[in-house]
Amino acid sequence: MDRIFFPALLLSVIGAILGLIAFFGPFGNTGVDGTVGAGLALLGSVTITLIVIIVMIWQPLGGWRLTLCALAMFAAFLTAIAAFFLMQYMLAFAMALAFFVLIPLMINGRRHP
Amino acid sequence: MKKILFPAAMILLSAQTALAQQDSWTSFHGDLGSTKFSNTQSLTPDTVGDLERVWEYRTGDVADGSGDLPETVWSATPVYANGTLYLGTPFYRIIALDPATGGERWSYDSESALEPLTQPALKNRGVAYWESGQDGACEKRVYLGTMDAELHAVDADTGERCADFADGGVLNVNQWNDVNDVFPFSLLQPPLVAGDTLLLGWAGMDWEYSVAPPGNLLAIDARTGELLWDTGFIPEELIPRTGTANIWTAMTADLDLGLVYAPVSSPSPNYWGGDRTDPIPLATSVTALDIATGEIVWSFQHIRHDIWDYDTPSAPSLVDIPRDGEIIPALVQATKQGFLFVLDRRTGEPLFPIEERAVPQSTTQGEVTVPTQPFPTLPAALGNPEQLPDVWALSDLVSLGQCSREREQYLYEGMFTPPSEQGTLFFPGTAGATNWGGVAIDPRNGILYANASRIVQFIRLIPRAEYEQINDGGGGNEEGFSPQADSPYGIYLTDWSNWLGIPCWEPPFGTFSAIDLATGDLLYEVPFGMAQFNGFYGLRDWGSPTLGGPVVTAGGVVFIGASMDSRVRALDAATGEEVWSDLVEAPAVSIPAVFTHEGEDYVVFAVGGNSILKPEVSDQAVAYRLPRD
Repeated sequence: MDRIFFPALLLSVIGAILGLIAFFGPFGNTGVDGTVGAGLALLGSVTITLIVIIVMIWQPLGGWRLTLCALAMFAAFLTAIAAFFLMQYMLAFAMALAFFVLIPLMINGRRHP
Repeated sequence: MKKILFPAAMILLSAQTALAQQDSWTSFHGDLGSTKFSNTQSLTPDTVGDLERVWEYRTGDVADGSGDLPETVWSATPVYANGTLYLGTPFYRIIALDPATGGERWSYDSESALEPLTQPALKNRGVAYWESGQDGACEKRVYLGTMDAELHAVDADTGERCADFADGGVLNVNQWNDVNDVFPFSLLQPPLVAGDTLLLGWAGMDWEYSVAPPGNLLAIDARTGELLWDTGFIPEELIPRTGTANIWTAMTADLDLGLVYAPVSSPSPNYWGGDRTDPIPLATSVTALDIATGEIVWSFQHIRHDIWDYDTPSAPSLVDIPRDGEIIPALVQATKQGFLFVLDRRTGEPLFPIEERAVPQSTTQGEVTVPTQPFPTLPAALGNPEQLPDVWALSDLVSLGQCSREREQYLYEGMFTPPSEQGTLFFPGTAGATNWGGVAIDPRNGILYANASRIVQFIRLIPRAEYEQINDGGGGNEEGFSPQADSPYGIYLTDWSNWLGIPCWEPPFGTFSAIDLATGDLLYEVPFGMAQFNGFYGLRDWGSPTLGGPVVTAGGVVFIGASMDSRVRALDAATGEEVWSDLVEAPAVSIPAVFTHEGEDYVVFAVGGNSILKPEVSDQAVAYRLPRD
């Protein structure tokens, strides 16, 4: 398991939990519960989590690592934007952090043969 | 959007003492004058940030339309009277609550059939309260109307029916629906209680029929339910060819003058007038009637030959205005177009100049539009309605130019552009710049506060044969089609949006304004609320369409729900700046009740939602209060 991805995993799991809360509103009305927008944000955060888990377990190098990290970053970027316009600012912050945490990991991956 | 700073010095107007002493909230608009002014002192721009939600109550009377029941539209203003908070619900129940705790004291079920007889949804705008001044059972009463036109009277202390009212406490108002009775009456708006008289309008079916029940105003004895008088608004000779011009919204009364002011709606069919080209002077008007006799004292028609369904949507608000050293008792009638007509409420004479301007003419077969319509020169109109918003570049871009193409294709020649077979843009749309929420006025300084929507709609008249082909002989409101049966045209009416559902017109979609009624000057106009589509919020500068109205307090705060984003807000009355907000379950599409109970000031919102804004509905009532020391 590639432990260097733990921060990204932690942020994406936090994002997925916040996405679940935004969509399902278990602690009360979120203003967006049940909406298409919250569903997309949830989907985005879960997607990032799955990609990071795959990368941690599979530990790909080179092109695969680059591609998966780029996909995760793209998802984090879109989810952060979506969360901002859903006024789910903690989720937006988590996704923005995940985006920046993934940058060095992707760059690092490009150095492998 | 024009922004003008609040002037440092305001002309103080003579405030009616009764209005300035408003501590209760005994009717839909708070008082008989529909000022929506609360004399609460503690709620100021500096203190409202500390407001706490002290209780929340669920009526349980809610449906989103996905099950057996139609969806609910709950636009009730809570009524505070008799030390109790009374709610009417869209399942036609009355609930009496302890204002301090939200604890239920009693509830009453009218057992009305929950069927959408005249409306696509189960609707309720609250209850009315009357007291005789004597002690005893049913000397204080709460009245509730139902979809099937029953008016229920119950004891305000116990919720028991008042046996001396009509038939065991229930008045069948539909017994007076005997002309063109293609649909039953519906009592969705509570009656206005003027002394011992209940003044009652009714709602019907819009856009369905050409010939419909002619609108009238009923005066009912508050104790017995006896019909005192019945005044109609359609000329007798036209009744075989038209109908409505009813009063579906709240009314206002001046007991000193003995007058009730009725906002009268448009005649039927709503969007084609070829069968009603003769004048109908009382339609789309504000009309003053003698409370004692029902005699019409004066009437002001703000749209002639209405073919836009621009019903007079709200109760006029009373205010006294200084003119040439004299205090003029006035009223302000807000219209769906965003105009504010300020009239002497004794005579109906305008207090600001009104211009007759040439308006676009119809080329539709059989239609005869009027050459001019009245335009108030002052006060400033709400939401800049005389200027069609530009095509929104963002919406146009993502739709690859759809909006620009449609702008070229559809007819728009200015305000009052008639509906057409080609397709017409009309602005403000049929839900209006303002609607049942009306305006609020601070009677101490004559400043008016109002929210306004800026929605552009598209309407097309569809020749009957084509309409029936499209709709398989029928047709309903849900998809935007309405039949206007027995007229040459059905209609298709929808918001002007691109294929993604994004509005084609430039924001803001809603504004909040303050106007000095002494001068007619616009003090400020700012975007209000946030639009919300599929959960995503728009930018604050885009504002939100609104339904519902504001309340202004003596502490200089405006309380308002109304926006799409399911927030209830407090605004600094001096600037329109938001100073407090709270998230609720759905848009709060009525008017909050602001009152003082046992020495503490409360703000209570009924949160019901309305599908015009977005699909979410709710049964939530929430109360706010400043923290106790």
